[in-house]
Amino acid sequence: MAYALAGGALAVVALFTLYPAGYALVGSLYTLSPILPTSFAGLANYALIFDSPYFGFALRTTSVLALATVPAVLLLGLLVAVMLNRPFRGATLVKVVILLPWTIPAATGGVMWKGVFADSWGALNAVLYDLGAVHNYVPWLTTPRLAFLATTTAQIWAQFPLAAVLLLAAMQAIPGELYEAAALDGAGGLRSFAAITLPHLQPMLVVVTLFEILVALTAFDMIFALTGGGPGTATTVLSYFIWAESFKMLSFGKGLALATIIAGLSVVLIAALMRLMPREALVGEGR
Amino acid sequence: MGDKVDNRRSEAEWTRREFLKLAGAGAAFAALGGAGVVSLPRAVLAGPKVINLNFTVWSYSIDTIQDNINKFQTTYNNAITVKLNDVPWPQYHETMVNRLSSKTALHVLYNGGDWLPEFARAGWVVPLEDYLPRARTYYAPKIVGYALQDMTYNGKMYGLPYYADITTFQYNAKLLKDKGVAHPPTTWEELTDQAKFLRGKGIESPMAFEFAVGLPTTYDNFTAMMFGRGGEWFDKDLNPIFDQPNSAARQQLTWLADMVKQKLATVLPHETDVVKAMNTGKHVYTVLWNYNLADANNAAVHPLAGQFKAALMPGSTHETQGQCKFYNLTRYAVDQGQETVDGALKFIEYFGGEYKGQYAIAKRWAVEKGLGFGQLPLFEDADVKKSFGQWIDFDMFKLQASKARARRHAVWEGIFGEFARVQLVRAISGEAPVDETIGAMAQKVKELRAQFK
Repeated sequence: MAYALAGGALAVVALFTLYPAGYALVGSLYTLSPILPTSFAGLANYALIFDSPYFGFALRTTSVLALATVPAVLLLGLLVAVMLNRPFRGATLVKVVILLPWTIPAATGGVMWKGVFADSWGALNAVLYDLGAVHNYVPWLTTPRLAFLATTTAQIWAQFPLAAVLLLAAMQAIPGELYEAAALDGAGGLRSFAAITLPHLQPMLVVVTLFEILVALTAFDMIFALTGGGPGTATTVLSYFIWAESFKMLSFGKGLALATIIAGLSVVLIAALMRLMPREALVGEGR
Repeated sequence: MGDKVDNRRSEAEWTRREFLKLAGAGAAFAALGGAGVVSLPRAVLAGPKVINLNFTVWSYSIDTIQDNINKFQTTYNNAITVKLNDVPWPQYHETMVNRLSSKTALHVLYNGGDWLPEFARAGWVVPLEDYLPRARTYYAPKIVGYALQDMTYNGKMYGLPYYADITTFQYNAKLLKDKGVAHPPTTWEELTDQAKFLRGKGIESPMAFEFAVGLPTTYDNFTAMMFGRGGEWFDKDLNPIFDQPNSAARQQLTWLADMVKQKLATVLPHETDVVKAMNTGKHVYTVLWNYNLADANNAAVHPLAGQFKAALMPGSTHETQGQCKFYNLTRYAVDQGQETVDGALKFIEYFGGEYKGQYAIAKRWAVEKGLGFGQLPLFEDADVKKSFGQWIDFDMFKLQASKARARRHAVWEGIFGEFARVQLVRAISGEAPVDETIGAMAQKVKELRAQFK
């Protein structure tokens, strides 16, 4: 019975994880294109990727995006969770509103942010112009650095609500007696936060960090809708690069090779992070 | 009470015996009827056969297309029905590649010169002249050169024009005159001088361009400007010449990057943004597909309508790019048999050719939307002249059209175009030096030539 149950689960994993991964791995060794005959390419697709400067650009852009968004999402999520952890009138409504960005599909969010950042008709330029802060519109989406800033802003906006909700759930699981005891010992709000809240949040912070790193590594739909990877390659992240190689360059073999590389990078990165984390941070032991 | 209920049930519901009786009677009736039907002639049996076509376009003026389809269907008494599918313009190429390679049911599609070699070599589309010989004998001599070139691959004509247009240099004539400039620039360098002068007169960024990595038009706009200098991407054997030390492409990209760096030019992500921006009075010059001038001068929509004119493309030769988008018959349609092909040919001819002596659909696009046309008779059509005359000097339009040519198309141009526009935007936005981006494009050509040899 136990084997049957395990077998069912394994079959699901095999069908939805192992088969696609295996298909990608095998496909990455072929020249696969709708307009060329299929042929075995060995490691040529990988060689082309590593030779291409665009892989380096995309890797760098993805890394910078992760470095910019993950800490910001964590900090903002934590701040919002702390605010929501205190009872106040209309708290439920505020929680719903704060969660809203996370519930909006990323592509829709991208279009909305395009409405904010669009150079000639965007809301942000209109506000800045009305306030007299600018005399001509700011080219948010057509200047490389500004386009990256816009992308980062949109990504943080889309991601922080989930972090806030997860951290809030973890906060609400902390026994109230601990705070009462700390208060009796004369600890103030900040001291209690540092000595009680943060240690109890550690496992959830680890989970959220890992999740957000993965989100940054696989970011695609928001960027596709907001900047289309541009201007130039300024917001071309690895996932967008996979899409462009596959569907713009019609080189599915190369796209699969890229996907394999990114999957490998993700596994290595997560394994390294988990090794670096103290064990109690992961399992909540030692409290 | 209980009896009443039972009686009612026996009236309303069938017993198994009643059902079997009825089924038996029905089967006997069907058998008799069937025997009678079999004895009828095949034509009567089949009734009027309806040909169903799938027609795929990019998303532009869908209401007008559907209205044209309705008229076509009525003309043929609904014996041919056409289902319209549209795909966003920025994703048209890759979407069609995937649909065609997966043998999606698709009979007629919009195609363009840049994708024709790729689609034709893959066997997804077929030459129109092989199925409609008068395409070559009757229509081809009546089609403007650049349009015919864009519809031709390996010497075969693949379609009839949906529209054929030229890219034009457009400017705000009133603003230019008000600021004290007597005439539009004739070279790009003169444009720089005028732009600097205009900045001194309060026009911060005199030029506005449409460039975005997601838009195929980016490649078109740059090509047209480069043609103004007499340039070309490839030689006759499709070897790259754009990467030569002093090529027109290198000169033009350097000029563009400098203009943007000096903030004399503003880059916008779509032609509609450019038209709106031109109508703010903050810009004087732009380069766009000509039909945008009709929009810019539309008084019902834009505040500065009537102030915009076209001038010859700056540069040494004043050439520009002409192109044609056309109705193309698919291999899938051919595989469905002669009746389907006949239906599709009627549709293509109604839309891109003559019907009762009129190029009705092409003329409608020209008169209502300002789209250019490939059919030479329309250059002399009084209605078209009158309509165009409301937003462009028609003689200037004809002069610029006479200096237009199509690009040389390689089988891998669809892919190269995607790559090139990223590089163009990298250079224009200052993300990478011009030489680096030109080098990257040349390297890509080398790779593609090796792949497709």
